Amino acid sequence: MNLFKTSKSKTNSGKIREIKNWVYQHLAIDPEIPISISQLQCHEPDCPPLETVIAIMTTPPQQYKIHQSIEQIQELDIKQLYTTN
Amino acid sequence: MVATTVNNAIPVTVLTGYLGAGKTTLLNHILTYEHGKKVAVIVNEFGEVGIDNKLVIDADEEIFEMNNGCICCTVRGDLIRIIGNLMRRRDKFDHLVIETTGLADPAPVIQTFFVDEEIQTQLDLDAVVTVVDAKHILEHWDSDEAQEQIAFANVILLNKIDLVDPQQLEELEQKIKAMNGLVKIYRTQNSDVEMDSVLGVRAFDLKQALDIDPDLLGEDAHEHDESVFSFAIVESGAVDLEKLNTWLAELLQSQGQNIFRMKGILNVMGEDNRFVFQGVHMIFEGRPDRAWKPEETRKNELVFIGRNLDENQFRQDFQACLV
Repeated sequence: MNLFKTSKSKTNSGKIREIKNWVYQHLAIDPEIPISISQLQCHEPDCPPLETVIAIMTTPPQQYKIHQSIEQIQELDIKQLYTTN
Repeated sequence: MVATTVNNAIPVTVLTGYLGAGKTTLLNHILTYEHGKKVAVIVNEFGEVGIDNKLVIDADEEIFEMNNGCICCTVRGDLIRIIGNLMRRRDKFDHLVIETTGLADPAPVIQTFFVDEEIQTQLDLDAVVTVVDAKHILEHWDSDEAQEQIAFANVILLNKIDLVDPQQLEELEQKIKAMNGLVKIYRTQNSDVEMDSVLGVRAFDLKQALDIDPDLLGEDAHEHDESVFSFAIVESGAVDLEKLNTWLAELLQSQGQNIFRMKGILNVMGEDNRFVFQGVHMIFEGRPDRAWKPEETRKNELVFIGRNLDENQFRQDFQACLV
């Protein structure tokens, strides 16, 4: 791993908006509730090397994890969240 | 004059400090100063001093773990929620100030700005500003909260200096510097400080030249009085990037919980550009920076701030990365 090449560049904001729109649509989320999307590259032993966390910021938040980068996520992945949770 | 950011991201100032230290007084100075900025404020507690602003949002601290138990993925759910809603009204403000409670841990607040993708894109953490009550801080000195608020600070207002004598003040400043060798300290009364010192600091911007106190860089390894302290490693010579990556990855994994902050400049073998990095717990950001200037002496300067760090081991391990 090269820590000096994998440093976070700002993610494509269009893709983030697209994912959020899919979540609002397929999980029928109230548009007033913010959604947080984070691509985590954690160094702790029990964490996967790369995953995307989608947090629907209700109280308490609802959390979904996809073991893919943000760029790789497709609409089907979000639809499957609905069917598998 | 207050510096402005060059991109469209909204700068964020985090105010920390014990209740009664003078945070809200500083906040009111920021809000009433004629800097031409529309400032939105998120507060976690209303103190005795009122806040002079229309756009004030009250928040209840909510720690939210993105990954179960992983400290670097621990953020502030309340801030994500409020900022998510605020950004729908982003034309209403162009600077955000977050005033935390006196007992807040600054790490989840800071990490919120590095973990949530949209917040990273839309906002830039400008600086963590900690107000320290020069008269009363020693009563809380051993508490985790006081130590973390000092250790994570980019700027400290050593406030109420009129209530302590110059000798005490000097000793206190030395204790703070021992804990956080990267911080800029301003001695103040009534939280009165130049706005340039607290706004537009860009303390987390890797593009800014790393500004490390020469006194800290000149220190040799020595015993530390506190469990939280800072130290610098200065080495000439070039590092082997592969060895450095291996060491840093292991360090983040084994010591990330105890490393509060780190930053540095590196001379990498075979590279014309200097490399720069910074980190908060296990969150690490590093990249090649500008080219070394012909008149510059190429060297490596690393600073660590944390709890119970084994300074000698860090030095040995870094030296092992040198070519």
